Amino acid sequence: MTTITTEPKSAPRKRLPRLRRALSREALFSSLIVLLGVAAVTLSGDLYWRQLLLIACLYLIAANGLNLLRAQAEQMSFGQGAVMGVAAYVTALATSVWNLPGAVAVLLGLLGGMLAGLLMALPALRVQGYYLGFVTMAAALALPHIYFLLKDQTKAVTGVNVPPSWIHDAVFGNVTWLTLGVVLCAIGSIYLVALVRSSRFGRRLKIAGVSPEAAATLGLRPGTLRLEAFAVSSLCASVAGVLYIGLIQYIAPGSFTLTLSILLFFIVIIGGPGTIAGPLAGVVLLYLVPDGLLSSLLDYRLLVYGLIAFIVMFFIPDGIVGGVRRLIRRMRPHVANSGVISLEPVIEGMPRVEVSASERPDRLLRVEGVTKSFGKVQALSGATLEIGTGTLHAIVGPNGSGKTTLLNAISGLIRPDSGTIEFAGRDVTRESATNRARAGLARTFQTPRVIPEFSVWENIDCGRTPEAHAPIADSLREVRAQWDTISASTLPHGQRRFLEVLRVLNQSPKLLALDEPAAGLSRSERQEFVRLLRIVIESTGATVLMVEHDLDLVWSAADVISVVDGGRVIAHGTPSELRHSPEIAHLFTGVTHVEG
Amino acid sequence: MQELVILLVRGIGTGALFALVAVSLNLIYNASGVFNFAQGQFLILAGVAAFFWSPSTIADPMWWVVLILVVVVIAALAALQGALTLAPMRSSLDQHSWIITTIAASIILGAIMLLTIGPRSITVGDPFPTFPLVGTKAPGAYLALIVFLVLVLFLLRWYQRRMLSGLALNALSQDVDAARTAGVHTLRLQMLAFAIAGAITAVAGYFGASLISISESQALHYVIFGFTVAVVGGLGNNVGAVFAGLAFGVVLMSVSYFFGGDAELPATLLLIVAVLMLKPQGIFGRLHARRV
Repeated sequence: MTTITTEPKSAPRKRLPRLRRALSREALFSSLIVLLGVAAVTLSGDLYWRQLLLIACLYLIAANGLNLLRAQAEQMSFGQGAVMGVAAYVTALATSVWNLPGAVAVLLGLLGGMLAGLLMALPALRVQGYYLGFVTMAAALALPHIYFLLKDQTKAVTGVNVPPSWIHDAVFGNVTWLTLGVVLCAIGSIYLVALVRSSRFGRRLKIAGVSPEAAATLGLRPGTLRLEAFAVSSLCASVAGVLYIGLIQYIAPGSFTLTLSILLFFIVIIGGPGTIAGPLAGVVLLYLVPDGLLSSLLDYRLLVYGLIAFIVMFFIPDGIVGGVRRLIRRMRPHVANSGVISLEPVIEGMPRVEVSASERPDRLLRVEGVTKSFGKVQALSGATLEIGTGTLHAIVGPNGSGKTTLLNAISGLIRPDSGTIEFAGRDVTRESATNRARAGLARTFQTPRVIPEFSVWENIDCGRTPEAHAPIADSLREVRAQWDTISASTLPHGQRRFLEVLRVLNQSPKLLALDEPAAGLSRSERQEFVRLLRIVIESTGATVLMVEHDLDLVWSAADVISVVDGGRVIAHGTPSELRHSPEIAHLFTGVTHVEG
Repeated sequence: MQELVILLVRGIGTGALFALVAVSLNLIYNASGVFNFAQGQFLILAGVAAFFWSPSTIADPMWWVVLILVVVVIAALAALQGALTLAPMRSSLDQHSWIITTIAASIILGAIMLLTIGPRSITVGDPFPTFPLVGTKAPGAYLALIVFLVLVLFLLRWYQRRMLSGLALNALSQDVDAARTAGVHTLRLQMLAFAIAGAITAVAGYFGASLISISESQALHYVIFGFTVAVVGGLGNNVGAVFAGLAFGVVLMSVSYFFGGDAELPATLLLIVAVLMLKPQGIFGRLHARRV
């Protein structure tokens, strides 16, 4: 076990999240490469290579947005090139056809691109994953046709020429304003990825992508978060699109086809999704090398893309940068942080303020006649349950009796066929899981929803912004620095349960619904865990509801036990009342010997 | 009136083609959770084969010989592609590698076609005799596709209820892990699903070669059309795919008739966005119990 020394309270939180060290190093490295590359071709005066490198920078900007979408939000888009195209098209039309001033044209271009990106991602509110891949692909295929449908407005037949302007003037030497802008935006997009990855917003995106259920029970809206990820990603594509017009000064419907969108997607996947340097490596390998060095093989480019994608998926599924990183880690003897967290410091740090019993309503949750069937399987057939405030309430029952379904109905992950659920004096039967969580109903899962790429601390701090006076906040702050260095992937299974419980406690819930919290915990960990639950109940007045198979634990720790069988609650009472109850004895033949 | 009937027949005929693509996509999806982006290339490939090798009428026995060859070759190609798609999914934790590998397969097949026949769009004559319809003659390919669709539906149903490997395929669609522990050779079966899907798509492309624009760049269009039909019909639901396919065919044909061919894809985009927003489980959706 690790020991923690109590330190004085840390300084008040900052507004912008600090970049994580490894990320900031990678971002600096990538930015320097971009800077040096562009500086070298600018100094050499080779116009062909300068143009090539600046276009590569645009692809990098768009790919960085796509990287966030892919790796942080776990979504996909084959429409990134199309978004870029819309932004470019609107900018070109605004400049040359509507004769608007440059700044307005740029603004319109950005807005147009964002709008297109959000419209095509609208289904993200309801669905996720490959659905969005298909929808965005349909959008990328449809866009050239849309330009032609509106050919009078878009000049689709001839394309749009944009005259050169002051952005092509030199700032110094042969560095133009445009070159400067492109490089700054490219570096900006690199730091944007690092910033989102280091922020709570980024962590929310991740948990909403990995486990929408877990995100909803933390009070987050996974659909909205997915759309927000598309917004950030589309912003990057739009910036790239606007800059494209400055660089190429011409656009036609054929300028941005599905091929570009697929190229951008492959740049992210092959370069190494989730890494900062990945898209940069991808742009170099898939764009600069084939277009700059092997331009005689242009006809075979698509064939080569396809083959590279296959090879990467077979041998280095985490991409080039991911693979290189794995190699370095294997060669360098790594001093791993012991992957164990202890609840002790958290328990020690919790304030011991008794919430007086008279201030609480005596009933927190009421479940009345809830039924639910999946096809022909009747999982719940009229379950009725009442949970008093400030109690530790356990639900036991044989496998398949409907315990988890009951928990899901309570937390709002499934909608019951009939019956009502009342929480904190309010009928929540028709409320979403998110709204119930926001009202103070938290839960954990049978398989802990832990994100292995995150540190222990990041896993805890990925819900809604916790209230400053959350009882657990102070004690968590004490362990933050240390837990931020432990990778969650090294935690043993039982410890992941601690982590998940701490994550929901960080939301100061009124009711903590735990699905088999003790499974996989060692004996001492169980004792530690029950102590934590007791202290949480005492100091915050919260209520704990747990589905648990370990009857020893239930009988010794719970205040009230409900027995579920055949989709309904068949018995209800304190451990001592139930011990001698004849109607449930046959369900738990091994229990009678348990000492009170 | 006559125009309306022609619109309807053409719509239902091409709708049958879309339904066949959707049924192929469903077959693979049910067996492996994969949506095959490369399925469209098989359709085009069958069309290319029809262009180069098939006689101009079904009265020629060679037409049938070529059909069998095309079906066998494409089924084998599809099985191979399936094996290549599924291999990384078995070893790595990333269960989404199929999106990249099937798109890569589509790109590779497309690139090979581009290098051999170029970007041109090929046209093939209808080998089927025309059939009379309210005073006009309709192309026989429409009828052939509809007949084949009905046949596929019944054969698949019979296969998945009566044959052992069909039952096992059904089991895969319920729970792959459980099927594996029960001793089902999952990989072999999943390859079989790819092969059957390849064969269905091959016949669709060979029969319908006169109705589709055969060019490499169209392949993904047909995947999008097929996916739209599969979603509207409820993913994995073949009966739903048939109804959705026929309806979608008529809608697309009408859109094309009234607003021009350029409106087809935008209309599809609108439709799929609307369906996913309003009823993501599809019109004939089938609900799965959710595991939490």
